[in-house]
Amino acid sequence: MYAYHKDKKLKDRCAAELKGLSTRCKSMKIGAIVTSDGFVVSTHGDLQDDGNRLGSMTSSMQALAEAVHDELDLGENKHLAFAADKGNIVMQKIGKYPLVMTATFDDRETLGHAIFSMSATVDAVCGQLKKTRAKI
Amino acid sequence: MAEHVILVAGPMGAGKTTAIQSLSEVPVVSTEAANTEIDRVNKATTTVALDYGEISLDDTDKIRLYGVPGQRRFDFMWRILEKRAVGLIVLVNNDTEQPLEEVTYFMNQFASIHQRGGLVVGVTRSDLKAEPGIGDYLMHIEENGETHGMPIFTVDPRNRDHMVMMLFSLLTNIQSRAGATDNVCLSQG
Repeated sequence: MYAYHKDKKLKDRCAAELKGLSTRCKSMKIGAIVTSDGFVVSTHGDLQDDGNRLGSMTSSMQALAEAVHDELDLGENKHLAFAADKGNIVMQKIGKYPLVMTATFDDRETLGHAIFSMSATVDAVCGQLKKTRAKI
Repeated sequence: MAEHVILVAGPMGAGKTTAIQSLSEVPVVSTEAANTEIDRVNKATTTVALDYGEISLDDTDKIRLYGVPGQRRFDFMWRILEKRAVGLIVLVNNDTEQPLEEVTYFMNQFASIHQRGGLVVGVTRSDLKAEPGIGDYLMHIEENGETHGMPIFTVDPRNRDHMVMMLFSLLTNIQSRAGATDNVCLSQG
């Protein structure tokens, strides 16, 4: 398995894509791209412990969501969204790669727009991944 | 129906997912992700949230089995899953770097389950590395303050008979310890 979280170029490119998302989407507070087993590739925003905790939690949540999808035979997971009093969290798999993007948005953002904005960034990250040795 | 929650804990690669697959009478819910630490532990996937299985004891009693992720970075899942558990199976692969320390580490991490219920230790992959032996584990556990005469087995998590024997030993351990205090019911759920 390709060690995405150890690829310096990829980390920088992913960080740039997250920064781009925060520029387009002012309500974005925190963004992270993590491996499906919870290692942080890149983060953006003010995160404790370099985002390691968020990375692990994202990995667990994504896997639990996929388990529920499997149980109910709903097909492939597209994204996972949580709405809270102070904002929204969206998690989305990055194409077929074993990577997940997670981002929090404050309450100025509608959930729909947050998902729309994230999807565009996920597509861009997929483009960056094609430039690496990573295999799907 | 009484339901008893048992956790299976231990380091990455100990065989926790396999053990639950061996024991469960229902299709196991697994949360496996591709393992990017393959240079450290040579396996394709790893558990990142939980494994879940069930086994019936009789018409009225059911065991709910939860496997927890082995890596420290998922310890938030340990805290979530330990709340309702009455028993703990610690599995340790004998060929890991510090198997004795791993056992006491997981015993300490789940001390609350041990205090209110019971605990059993299973040593896996001892066919690949014979040392330390059961005596070494007993001594190490005793040196770390455990005096209850804890059951320790060498097991193959792929072998259902091994795992059933260990599970029933755990249930006996829980019952005997409960009986020694106030004869409380196994179930917390």
